[in-house]
Amino acid sequence: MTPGELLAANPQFSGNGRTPNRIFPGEAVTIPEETQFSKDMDLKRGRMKCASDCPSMVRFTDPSTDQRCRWNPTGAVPWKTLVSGQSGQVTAEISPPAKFACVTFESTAPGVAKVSPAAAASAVQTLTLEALSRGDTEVRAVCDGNTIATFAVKVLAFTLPMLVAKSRRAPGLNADGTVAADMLFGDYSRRRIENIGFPFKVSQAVWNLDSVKATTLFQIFRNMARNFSMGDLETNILAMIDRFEANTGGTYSNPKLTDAVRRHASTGRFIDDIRNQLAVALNKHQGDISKFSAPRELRLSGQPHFSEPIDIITGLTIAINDTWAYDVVLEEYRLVGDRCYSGKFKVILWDHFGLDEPDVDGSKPYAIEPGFRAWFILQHLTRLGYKPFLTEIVLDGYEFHGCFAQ
Amino acid sequence: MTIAFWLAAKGRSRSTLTIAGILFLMFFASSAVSADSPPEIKIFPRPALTTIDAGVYQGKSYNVKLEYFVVTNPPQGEPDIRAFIGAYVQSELAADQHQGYTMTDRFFYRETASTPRDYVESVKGYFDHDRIEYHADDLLVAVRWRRGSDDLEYHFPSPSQSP
Repeated sequence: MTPGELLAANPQFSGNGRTPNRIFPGEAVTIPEETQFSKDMDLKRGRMKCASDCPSMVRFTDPSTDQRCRWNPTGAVPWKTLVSGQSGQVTAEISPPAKFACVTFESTAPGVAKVSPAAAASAVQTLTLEALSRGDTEVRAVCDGNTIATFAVKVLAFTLPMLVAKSRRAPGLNADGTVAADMLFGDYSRRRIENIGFPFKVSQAVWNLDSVKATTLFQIFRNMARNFSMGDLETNILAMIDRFEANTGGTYSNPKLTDAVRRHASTGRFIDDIRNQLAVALNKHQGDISKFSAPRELRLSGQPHFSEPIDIITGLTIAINDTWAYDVVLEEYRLVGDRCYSGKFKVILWDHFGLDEPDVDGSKPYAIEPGFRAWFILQHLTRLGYKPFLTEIVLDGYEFHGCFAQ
Repeated sequence: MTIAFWLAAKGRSRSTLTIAGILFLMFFASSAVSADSPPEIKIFPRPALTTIDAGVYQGKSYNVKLEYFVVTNPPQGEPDIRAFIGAYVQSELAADQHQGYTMTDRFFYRETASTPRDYVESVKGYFDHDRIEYHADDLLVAVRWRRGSDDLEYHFPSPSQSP
């Protein structure tokens, strides 16, 4: 048989670069023009003889090494979950091995996931599944038109990064959407400041709010800040005051401050809570994060705070006296095997570097501290009106992993 | 009671002893009644903390309500808490559905010194801001309802994990 006769007899053939010493039903091959065929090459054998040569069993298995991730150890119809844009592997074990030649593989919904190769080249064939779009499909092992085994594939589609939890309040805003009082500036007249309480009447007597220079108030503010900080966090709070004096508003972050927050036990407990709630949510949705229905899927009841006596001494509290808002963002997410997952998330914390009246009124501890009054006057006195800013702490790289129950 | 016995001992008269005996019996009777009467369980909504969040998430609109409550004399043990709080939440679901929420989260705190029945968030000075989130160790249970589901999702926190 010449190559031309071969192609005429098998019009489904097209190029795949393989020299056809054996050709199986449905397989696409390249026929080099000068190929010589020996007598024992039965090129049309597959279609005519496979009915009697079909294997009795094809067993699909997931080559995941983690036994916990095997979805169905009992041997029922297996399935695999993939994420759109990713690929995965499945092994097909053909029995008896000698009959692998007649087995082909196909996806019932190739738009959801493609399978390759199309035909078995050995009795233990590794198949590559390429996930293309959200949906379900089946990979079938077929011989002579009959399905011998199926393997279900579920493809998930989602976009990362994904917000999975957030605080009641957004940065800079109250829960009702109005601007937080400690983010306002230039909104107090001299008389209104004096009416806050006794300490401010003293301030007026000492400083004269109509004429006191900002540099004087900043000096008092810095002196006070040094008393409530040490080491790197003293450097940080002074940098924050510099930023306040620059009057640019916006967002401030500092690696030393971020490190201190990351190391804090309250942050550690918050991270543990996030991991626990991620496990709850992933278990509920069987790993399908596209089923998260709101940016509050993680039901977090607490949030970090840094007001222990040691925090006041070291300089964490004066920098972040209240974690006003937070976001939890899923940065990476992978399905491992069929029942397990891993990924990374980050947490963004925000606080306001600003004061409102309850921070400083005369009935409160530290109200007598002139540094807080100086800060309040710098921010709120109409004549000065220095802009508060957001302090942002980005805590990233937190890993999570687990398996969900069936 | 103590006065009655003191009088009895002092005067040693029959009538005084009789009065003391009656008072003694009344005291034990009232103790027995109070021991048999379970403390009243009450739920105090904290409406100032209610938060409604709406928007679009993954291409779909959502409308979530967060509500907070303080429970006095809460039941002991998860089954009893689940039954009592669950019944309360079930009674609210018709209103949730009517108002079109896609999800509600209700947080129930046990009454303590730091989460009293009239709890409000407060600022006691720059170094002492109080938020309901800072009292996760007093959280009794959180209950979630999702539109389209008849099941309530309960979350019983571990106090040691409170941030």
